[in-house]
Amino acid sequence: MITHLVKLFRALNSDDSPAQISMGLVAGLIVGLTPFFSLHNLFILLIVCVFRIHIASFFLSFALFSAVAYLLGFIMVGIGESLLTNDALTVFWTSLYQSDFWRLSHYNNTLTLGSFTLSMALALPMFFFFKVLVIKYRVSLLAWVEKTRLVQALKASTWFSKIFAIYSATDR
Amino acid sequence: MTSQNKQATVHSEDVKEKGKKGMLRLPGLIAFLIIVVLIGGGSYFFAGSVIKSVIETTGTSMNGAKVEVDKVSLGLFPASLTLNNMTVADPEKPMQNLIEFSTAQASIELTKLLMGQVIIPDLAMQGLQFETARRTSGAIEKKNHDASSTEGSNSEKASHELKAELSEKLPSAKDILAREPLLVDQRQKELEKAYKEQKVIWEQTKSTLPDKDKLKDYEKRAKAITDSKIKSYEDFKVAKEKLDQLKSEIKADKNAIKQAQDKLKESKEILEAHVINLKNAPKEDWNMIKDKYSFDQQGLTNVSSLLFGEQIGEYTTKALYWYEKLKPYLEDVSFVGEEAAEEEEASEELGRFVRFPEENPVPDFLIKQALVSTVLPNGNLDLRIQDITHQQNILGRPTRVKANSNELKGIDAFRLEGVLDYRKQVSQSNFEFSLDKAAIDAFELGSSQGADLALDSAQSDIKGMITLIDHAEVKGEVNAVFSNANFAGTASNRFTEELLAALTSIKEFNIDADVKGSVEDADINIKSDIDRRLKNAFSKRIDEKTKELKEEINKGLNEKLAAYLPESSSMTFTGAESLDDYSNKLEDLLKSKVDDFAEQQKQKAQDKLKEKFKSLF
Repeated sequence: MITHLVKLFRALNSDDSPAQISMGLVAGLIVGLTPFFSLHNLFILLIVCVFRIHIASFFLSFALFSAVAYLLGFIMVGIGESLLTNDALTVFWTSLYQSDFWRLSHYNNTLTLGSFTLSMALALPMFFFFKVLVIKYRVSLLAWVEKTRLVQALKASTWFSKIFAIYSATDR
Repeated sequence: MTSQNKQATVHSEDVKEKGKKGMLRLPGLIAFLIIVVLIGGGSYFFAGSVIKSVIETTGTSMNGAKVEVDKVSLGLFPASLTLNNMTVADPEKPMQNLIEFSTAQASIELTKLLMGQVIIPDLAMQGLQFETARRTSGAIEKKNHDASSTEGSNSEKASHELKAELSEKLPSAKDILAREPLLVDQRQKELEKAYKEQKVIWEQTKSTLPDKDKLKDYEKRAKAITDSKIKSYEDFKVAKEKLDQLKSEIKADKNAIKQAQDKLKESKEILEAHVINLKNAPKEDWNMIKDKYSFDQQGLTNVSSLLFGEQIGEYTTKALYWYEKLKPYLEDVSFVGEEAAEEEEASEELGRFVRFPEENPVPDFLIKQALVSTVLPNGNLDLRIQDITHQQNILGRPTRVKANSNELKGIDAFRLEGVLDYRKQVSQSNFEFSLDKAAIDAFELGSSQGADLALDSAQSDIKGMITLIDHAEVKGEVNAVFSNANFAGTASNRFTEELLAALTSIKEFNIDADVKGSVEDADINIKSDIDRRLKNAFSKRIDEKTKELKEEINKGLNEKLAAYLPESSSMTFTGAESLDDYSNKLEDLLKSKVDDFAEQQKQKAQDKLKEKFKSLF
């Protein structure tokens, strides 16, 4: 967790694209909110690995939103329940149900569908929100943070420099 | 432009530069594959331990005693799960396993498993055994054995009650004579009491009667009067007065003796009446004993219930014990239609899978076919179970159980067929079974703890059916036909001795048992032609025994009487024998002395007067 925080801090302070960081955070949000062993998470993991998305942000976001998922479980189950039991959608769900692929995706599970729906609904707004947040951070807070005694102390410490060096070498 | 804006512009330009590197990160594909393999391999590697832990933890929690598995292994091609050496401890008897098996191998449809359904086409369970001994205790907490001890004491109590009830039917002559309040004893006491009363009366009467001294006194006075010389009329007058006085006293005594004799006669009559009653007592005692103790077959109308009821009750208790163990799982196997599915509660942690109509619906959990090889005391028995699922309504078929064997030791053929149908709102499970030519060996009768009687050997054809309705109501019947029966026993009491003698003559009989009522408190009704056969067998025995008992009892009574009668013959009244003697003596005294003397003096006076008249003329 500390290493991911360090890497995120490093990314924020580096020249990494805000979009890459935001995408990593959004991908982590989706995987974190939805049940881990789901077919769509395999797909997201593939995207995170193959596309140039900030991985540390993904893992940090995944950990954070897993905790959020625990708190929002009943809301997500409720969303899935209302969608799957909606009479207007029954025909649609029934047609999907005939497909093994969709069955493998566990879409007919109330938690899976509810959490996936919520995370999809949040994905785009959160992407822009995170992106703006990164830019704002770099514009407004970066200089101030760099000057804080805490960061100065951290930078001065030997172990921080070593970790920094290691991740500098491996991040790209 | 501020320094911050400049810095942001620089970053933006760097990003554009980075973007030129391309969106794809191809080495990431390798990383992805490594991650997937690691997750998949890790899951496979640790799944066995995780499943083992889940089975042991959850199973122990549900069972209330240790559930242990030696090893859980997974197979991939084809997907399978194998459990090795699983034991389920008995919460009631921690040093005993409820069940254990050596291996259970289940093939699993992987695709369905990934869809959230556990479909097991084949399950093979080997070496299933019941109630096996454990090396270490399976208890997870200290158990309260009050229930079992109460059960034991109840069983013991029932056994004692049974023995008491049975022994009441045919006690020994000695027991009866010692136990019963006999008339012969009672009348002996009454005789003694009457004798004492009459004796008191006699002693009072005797004190008023003349004794020898008084008789001598009478004689002396009479002699004095008769020896006195009568010279004058005055002398005569004095002597006469004395004589009259004496006569009066003697008469009074004589009357007293007469009254005493009357009273004595009355007393003797009273005592004689008591003696007659005493002599009649043995006969009346026998009639009373005969009436009180039913030396007939009436008391044997339901001996079969007493003999076989306890064992059948134990079988029923055992069946209910296993039912209680299975009940929580069976209750989960309930009617599951679309309406029921909608009512299923969603878990916040896992959600729930919502089902939609499909062409070939499959339950969430299904064992299509299970072959269970059980190890029984009589040998191995293979059970074939089809369609084990908690969603029979989706599958459209009930669970079927079938077992056939011609290789069980002591049983020519065994057949079991069961249908557990939970497709309707009211579930119904039917079981039919039959045993052909089953060898019965040392079947204890009447008591589970050191029975006095046992069906030592027999051959039996048993057929039965049990229906369980909605986990609440049970009804069933079992018919057993026994042949070549040999009863044996220790004949520890009078009844078992007689019963054993009667049972020995019975070689064929049948038992029909009906079970009906609620599962918790079912009524068991046992009928058997053994009652009729016992009646017939007992009839002769009872006649013989009654005659024997009559002789023994009468002998005992007569011995008592013989002991009492000499006592009654010694019941005499002291001095009674002298009454007649006294009476005679008094009579003699009156006649010979008093009356004669008066007559003599009268004659003398007449003679003297005659002489005087002659001298005058």
